[in-house]
Amino acid sequence: MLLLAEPGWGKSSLCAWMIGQGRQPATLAEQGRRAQIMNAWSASYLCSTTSGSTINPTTFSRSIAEQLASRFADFAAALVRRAAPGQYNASITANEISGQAIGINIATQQIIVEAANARDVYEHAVRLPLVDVVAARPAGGRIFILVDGIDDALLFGRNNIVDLLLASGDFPDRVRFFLTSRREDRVRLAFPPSEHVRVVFVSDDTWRDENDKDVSAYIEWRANEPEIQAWLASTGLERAAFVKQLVDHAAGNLLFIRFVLDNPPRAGAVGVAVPTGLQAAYDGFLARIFPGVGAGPDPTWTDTGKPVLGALTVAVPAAPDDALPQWLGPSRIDQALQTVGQLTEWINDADGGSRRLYHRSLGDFLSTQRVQSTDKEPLGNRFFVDPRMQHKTITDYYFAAIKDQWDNDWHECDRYGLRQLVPHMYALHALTTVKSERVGVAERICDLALNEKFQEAQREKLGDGTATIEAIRLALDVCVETGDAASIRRRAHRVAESWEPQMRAFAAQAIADLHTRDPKAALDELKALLS
Amino acid sequence: MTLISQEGRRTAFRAAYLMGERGRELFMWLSGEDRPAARRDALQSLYLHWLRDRQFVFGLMDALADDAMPLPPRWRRGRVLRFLAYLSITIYVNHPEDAEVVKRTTTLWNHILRERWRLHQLLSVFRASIFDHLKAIVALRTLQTLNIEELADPELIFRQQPEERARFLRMVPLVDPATRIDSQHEREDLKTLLESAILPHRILGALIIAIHAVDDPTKTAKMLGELRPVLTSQGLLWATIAYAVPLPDTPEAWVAQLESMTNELVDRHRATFMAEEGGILERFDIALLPLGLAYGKRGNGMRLFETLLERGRRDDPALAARIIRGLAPVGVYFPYAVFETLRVCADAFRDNGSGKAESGKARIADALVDTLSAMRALHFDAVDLFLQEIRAPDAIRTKISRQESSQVVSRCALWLGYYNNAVHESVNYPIMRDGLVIAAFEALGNAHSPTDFTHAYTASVLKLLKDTDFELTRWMERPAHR
Repeated sequence: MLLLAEPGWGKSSLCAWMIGQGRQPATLAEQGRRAQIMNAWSASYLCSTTSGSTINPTTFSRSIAEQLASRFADFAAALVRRAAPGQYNASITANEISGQAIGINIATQQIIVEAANARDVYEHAVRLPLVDVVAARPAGGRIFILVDGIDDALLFGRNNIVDLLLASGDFPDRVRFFLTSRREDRVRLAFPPSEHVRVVFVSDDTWRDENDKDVSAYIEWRANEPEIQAWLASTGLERAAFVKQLVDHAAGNLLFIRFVLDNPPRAGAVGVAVPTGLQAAYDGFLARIFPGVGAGPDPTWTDTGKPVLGALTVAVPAAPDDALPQWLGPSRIDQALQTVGQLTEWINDADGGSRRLYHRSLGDFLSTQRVQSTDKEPLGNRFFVDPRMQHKTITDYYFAAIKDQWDNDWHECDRYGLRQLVPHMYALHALTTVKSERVGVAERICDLALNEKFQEAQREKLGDGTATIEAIRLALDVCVETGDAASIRRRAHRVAESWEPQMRAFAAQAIADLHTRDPKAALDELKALLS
Repeated sequence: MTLISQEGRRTAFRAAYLMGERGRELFMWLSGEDRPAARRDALQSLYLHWLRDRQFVFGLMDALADDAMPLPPRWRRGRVLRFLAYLSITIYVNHPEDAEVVKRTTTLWNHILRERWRLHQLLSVFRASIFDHLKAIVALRTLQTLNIEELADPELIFRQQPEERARFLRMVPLVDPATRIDSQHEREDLKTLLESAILPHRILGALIIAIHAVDDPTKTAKMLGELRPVLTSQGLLWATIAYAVPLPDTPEAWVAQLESMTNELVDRHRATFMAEEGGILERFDIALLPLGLAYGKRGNGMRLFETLLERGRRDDPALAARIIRGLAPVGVYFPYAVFETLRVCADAFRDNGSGKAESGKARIADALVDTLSAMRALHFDAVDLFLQEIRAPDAIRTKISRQESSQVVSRCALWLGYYNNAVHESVNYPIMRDGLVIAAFEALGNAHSPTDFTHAYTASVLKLLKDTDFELTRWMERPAHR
């Protein structure tokens, strides 16, 4: 089942609730009901772009395999047979295999990781063991797997989680996937409705009554807050009528109503004081802070609000406090945070404290050039922050700094830059439409990712090879897309000789991809690697 | 990052697998090339890949069969034949119990011998030369496995005394599991074989024990229990090594028995266990392999090794290093179980920067490097991922990457593979037991030179081939009178 909804409907909250996270229901009966739902899931996984690692398909496969193995002894046995063939006795029974040794192996990800290629990991650690389990006991209990936010997973590039899930379409009834996504065309095209795929648009009118009940319950839960009470009083309405007007205005969107109630107007009728829809709410809120935007140049917005919100829109997972002034210039930051602070949140992380937008939908709004208006005609977004420019601002800073400030020593670079510079360049590449510019960006990505000094600094300052491996993946990805055969061969050859198995897997994939375009060049490269 | 061609070669093989059928082209090309390191790595990689994707490798072997010819190795098609033979033998001898392997292998060689070379026809142009190739591929390799030059003086067997020769020959029939090792004479002969200075005698003694232990573990354990107190340390070592049988369905009862035997070896015969007296362990360290295989098949941890390792790390670094090195061949078969056992030692890599070469941690770190390098020859990615996971320093990873050591893997694949196969054939297939196993030992027992053996054994194999009309499936028949 694929559940589609607009941003803010509450997909992620629903999923989190269903797997036991978040607020505990008030009554014992509701607690029991949730426990029942929670226990029904055999495995669950929440994708989020704000946490880069969760959209990694290998991480996804490992997580699902671990959960299934810890829950089903027969899956653990099948996993070992498939993921480590011949290295354990295939006749071992399920009870034996769920013992300590296998538990440790799975916990340490050894068996699962052995295939360094994401597709192989999924195939051997998830898909094939599931096929075996179902084939052995077709009438066994249902296996439910929840995956939230698969639209976020698309940002990973090729061989993403959606691609992996597409390979699971042939499972029999015993295995059921519950997927959620925004109304993203690529997801809808990947999973068209069929006898195996049920698609539900939960933010459609069909579900309006149900959604309204949830929104109404949420408003009632917060209605006693003093600021909301004051607003209610100013309207002269009965509480029930006030709630109903808000519910109608929310159109089923929980985030919208949360945003409105977090920033309630001091007074005024609902229809006047509250805009319609989440994007309008964001627009209205920003218009209160930056009233001049849209009427002409507003330096408060262009010089302070826009750069900071822009940077936060593209920073993954958040912009470090120390790095933000470097990217944008120190004078802009304090003032900007004073004005837009409500739209951001501070988190304590390994970078020593960072700031991010309070919800992803705000980033979506800011990076949308044309927004939907009430009469359905798209209008220009006066608060548009071009994401390409934001990526460029960040990458420009690091490339200038390595030359002008750090004397070509990448050890001087901050941890964020070592971790995210290549991903920002990758995004810049994806958003660049002029071919010659794209090729130029691709070349810079490859040069940087393969730069030994850069890699050395990454390993030393970040503590392991994770960022390097990810950078190489992205570099080879753009190289295969934009490079010629000689360039792909040169880059793949260098990566092929790495001691990181994942990198070797990327190099192998690049050569295999080259083979589809130029079989002779690919075969020549393979022979060269054997020389 | 290093620039080591070994990594590049493995990447090339991986890319070829990703290309599917078109990727076979690389192996087809390499099989005819004179590139020993690349061929060796390809064969090991193909064996490992076969465990995951049999059809790719079987398909490759079928394709190679059409190119292989009984020609000298300086000719491309001769090299193809050797590549194919090595791959086919490695898969077969390590998985002789696997029905699909048996079927595909016999079909493959039926195709080569009958349809390609037409050996069953009297006028086959290859018939004259097949004797030489059987000698080169089958008889010589069998001799090399029975009388391993790297492990002992190969001349000893040919210079043995008449009573030694007589004892050897009268014990050969005991490879039939239907026989009994009941009499005192037989037990004394078995003890003498295990303690002999002549390597094939020890191998025969071990093989007899293994065959009977597969067939009747309780009775064999009892017999061995009575024999153990009178065995010398070398005798006990070989009685233990006898159980180095990778067949997946060996009895689980072996675990307890081998824990006891291995523990006795460590505690009461330390010099032998530490390979201070020379012998097989100095060159092919398989003292821990029998128990390691039994543990790996059971799949529930390696208790004795963990205990010994803990003891060694606490106050006996030499023992710890010895255990770690001894786990290398175990890791060839059960890499993940070995990683779990070794994980506690990972700190030796990190705290080993003092430069005190003789410090305990340095010894342990060196042993880890040796073991992981050896395992890496087969489990290339798995070892690298393990090093990544335990955050091994770059210097250690470089060291392991540069220490190419395929010896342990190739010895396991071939020597132990042949031994494994001999156990399986002797227990299950009378025609092969008589025509191959007994024939080989009898030919060796009667030989006064390598040539004597190769002639006699080649003639036996050729006779077997002719008797079964070059139809290898018939080797698996069980005669009615048996």
